[in-house]
Amino acid sequence: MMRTFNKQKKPAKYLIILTTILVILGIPSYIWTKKNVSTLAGRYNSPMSPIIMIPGSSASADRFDDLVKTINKQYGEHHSLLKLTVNTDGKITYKAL
Amino acid sequence: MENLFKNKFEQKLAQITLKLQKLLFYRIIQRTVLMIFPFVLFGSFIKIIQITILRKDSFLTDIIPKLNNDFVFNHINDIATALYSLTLGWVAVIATFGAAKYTAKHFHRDDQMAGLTSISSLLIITFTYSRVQPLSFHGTVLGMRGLLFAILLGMLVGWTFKATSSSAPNHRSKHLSSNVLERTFISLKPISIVLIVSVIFSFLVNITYYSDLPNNIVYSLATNYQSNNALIQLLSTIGFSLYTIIASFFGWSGIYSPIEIEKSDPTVLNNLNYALNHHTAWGAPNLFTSNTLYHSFATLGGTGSVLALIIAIFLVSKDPDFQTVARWTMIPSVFNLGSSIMSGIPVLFNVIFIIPFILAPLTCMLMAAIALQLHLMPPSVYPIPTGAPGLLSAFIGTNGSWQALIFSLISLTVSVYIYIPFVRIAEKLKTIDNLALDEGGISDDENLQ
Repeated sequence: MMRTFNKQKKPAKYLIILTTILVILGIPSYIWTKKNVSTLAGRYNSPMSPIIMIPGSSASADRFDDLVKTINKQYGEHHSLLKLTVNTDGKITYKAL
Repeated sequence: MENLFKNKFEQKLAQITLKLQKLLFYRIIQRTVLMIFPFVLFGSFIKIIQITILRKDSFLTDIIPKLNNDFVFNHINDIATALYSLTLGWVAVIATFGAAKYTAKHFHRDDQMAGLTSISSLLIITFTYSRVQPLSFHGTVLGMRGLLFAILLGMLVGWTFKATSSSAPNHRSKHLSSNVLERTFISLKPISIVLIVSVIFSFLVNITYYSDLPNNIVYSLATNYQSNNALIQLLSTIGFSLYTIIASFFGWSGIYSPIEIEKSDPTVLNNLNYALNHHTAWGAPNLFTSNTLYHSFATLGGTGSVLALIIAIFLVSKDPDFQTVARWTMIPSVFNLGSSIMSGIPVLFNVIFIIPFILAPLTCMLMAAIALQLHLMPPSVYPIPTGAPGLLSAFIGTNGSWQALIFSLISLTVSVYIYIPFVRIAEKLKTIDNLALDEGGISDDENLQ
């Protein structure tokens, strides 16, 4: 009994190290999961989601004006709209309504 | 031997193990697994650095200061990837060398040539025929999951040397240069045979397709046949977990393998949607999924709950080798990288450890299933980042539920108690027949016979 007690002294040190590591890792993982879940829930429960519409190659950014107008009229709401145009030189011009 | 082991079961297990250890096949496998240990360990530590510091979506993002310089960041990341890929990422190549070398040595053939031929052979078989990249291989089969194949291939190469060449000349009898030439010509026949067969084999069978086939079948079974019956769900989750655990025990990988990219089946997604909708994990529709049972409670420290084995060694083992290995593999295992302890003890292919390796995760999963059914803790439904400590995955997956954390600790304790008797048996067996003693020695002919 005495002998096993003596031999176990050293390994106990590693058990303490192990526990410490887990506690140290536990705190950031708690913060991470709280943040992640609230982001996910926010995204999932959001009443609105963005709709991205891409016109065909020969159409301009105003291609969907009629559609947006119809939708806004039908539901009596004004949804915000951002029009992006990527020019041939790589520059982006935008218009917001 | 009788006085070493207390009960009938221990004696029986010891007898089986000792009998197996006499087999050449078994000795070669065990020794090869021990040989790859340093590379696996090094690779695991690199992987930890990648998970904790270099990943941008890691759970430690908030506390570890970020490198804002993308250029420096990318370079460090590239270096880490290179170090990882050429240690843990290609252990199968190292293993095939070892297996061929030990086999050839046993039959008194040119062991060095056999090992090198085996490396060429494995690389030829896994070679990707691509016109874009001149030298590329099917990477997945070169890592831990290709271990079984690599060892068998190595033994086959060693055996080919025995069958088709005469024994190696005595090293000291002649002048060095002529000796090397002589050795080359003695081994030329087996080398050519092995390489030609490998080319034919690699051309006929696309190895990734071949090695992934069982997995694909099982995976499609797991995703396409979903049942709403809780009992069937429980049974199928346990079944697939068993498949995964047994597969990794033999150097393969199952569908729930933590190394792989998270595959989420519809039941897991249902749970997440429910929880996000109701702002709580309590009452999620599917209680028994891979996430709620296997990932949370069966992988404490990697497949087979090997963190429990490490703790069991700290608690009861007096063997200096076991202690050293446990100390070094403790940190990788915290991050669920169990491969290093699996090759260091070795656990892989080791008949003593197959029982706790399956039993510990299985018991924890059943306990968890009961606790979930009794609503003692919420099911783990939220996403868990890769490399999150296994012990904390239930805690993270339930959005910080204390019940789940306490239950993880209980699971760990139970697993430790399952491992303890087997650590004792393994230790006693080491005093009778130590496989690790003659590892890599020059004259180990006696031990191999």
